[in-house]
Amino acid sequence: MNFLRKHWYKILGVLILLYVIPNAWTGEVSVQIILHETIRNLYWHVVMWFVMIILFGVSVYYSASNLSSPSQKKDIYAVEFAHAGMAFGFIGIITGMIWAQFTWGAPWTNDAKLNGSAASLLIYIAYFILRSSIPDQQKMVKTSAVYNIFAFTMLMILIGIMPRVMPSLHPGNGGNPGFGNYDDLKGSMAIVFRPAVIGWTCIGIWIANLRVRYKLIETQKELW
Amino acid sequence: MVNKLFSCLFISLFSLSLHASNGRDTIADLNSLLGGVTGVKKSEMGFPEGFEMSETGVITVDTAIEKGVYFFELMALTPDESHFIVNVKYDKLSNPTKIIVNADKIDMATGLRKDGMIWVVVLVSLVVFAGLISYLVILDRKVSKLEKAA
Repeated sequence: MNFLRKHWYKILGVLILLYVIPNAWTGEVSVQIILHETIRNLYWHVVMWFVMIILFGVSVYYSASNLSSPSQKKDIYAVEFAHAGMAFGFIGIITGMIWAQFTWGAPWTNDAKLNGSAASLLIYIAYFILRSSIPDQQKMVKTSAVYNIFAFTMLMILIGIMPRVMPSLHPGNGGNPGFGNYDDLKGSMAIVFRPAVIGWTCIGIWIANLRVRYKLIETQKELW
Repeated sequence: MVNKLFSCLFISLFSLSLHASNGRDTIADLNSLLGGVTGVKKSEMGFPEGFEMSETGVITVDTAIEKGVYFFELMALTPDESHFIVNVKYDKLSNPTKIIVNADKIDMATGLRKDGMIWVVVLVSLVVFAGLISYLVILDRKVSKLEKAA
């Protein structure tokens, strides 16, 4: 029972992805003019961004709660979830560049969403730099917690709001129809895409969990 | 077979005076153009005013339509399950009226999924996934051990 309580989300994530991966290759997909079969990247590229936002969301939750009732554990959770989120963000950018090269004709277009996501990743890099630049431990924890909330807000504005206002090539942005408007997504593609988000989120939490535990051991050692 | 050979590009020019009936002119009959049509989907932009399409894929236009150049596109599904994107240009400024209907096949891996051994790719990606997960499991165990020791 203890085993299940500790590892349920890891098992869940693996099982879901064992269903997702074959279906991502062989399932029915929507037929679109420029995308052709590359629409299957929806199951990989888009999912990475969803997972990143969820992990950053968890991170900001711990930062906010760290401000109201400080504890070192919460600080570690906030940093390590942000770290894991960064990994997914970078995978998202690289996969997006590959996809764009073959559908839009260039790896980087001056698209509001591309620049927004690059800017928000830079903001998060600044978060880690900020943490290492303040020598006073308590000050560092407080400042970085506040900064993390700012970073998450900027992320939401830069990749959630701005691309919808400005011209963008992305579906659902700049007046483009969203992926949800492609009829087929409502059926055969949604049953792969949504589980994929849940599955990869579980894996992301697992990675963050490993980092947290490693960090906890490390800080314990420092105290000795 | 003929359909497959020439599926990449269809260009047909119709003379407007040929198909006049009830104040509507036929622009294109997708059924004969693509060798049978099982389904037609209009694009989200819809049709310009004055244009219509029947269930069987016959596109007609009101003869009284204003002078001008009209563009629209739609998607058609043929019996062999190919998808075509059909672009229509209706140029009423030129004399005689010029109609260009252009159908491009959208290549999808329908055949690949049937016999192109896509299962090999599925297998390979599952092995990659299994490798990554076992790596995570090993890390998890190592960290657990350290936690117990600490």
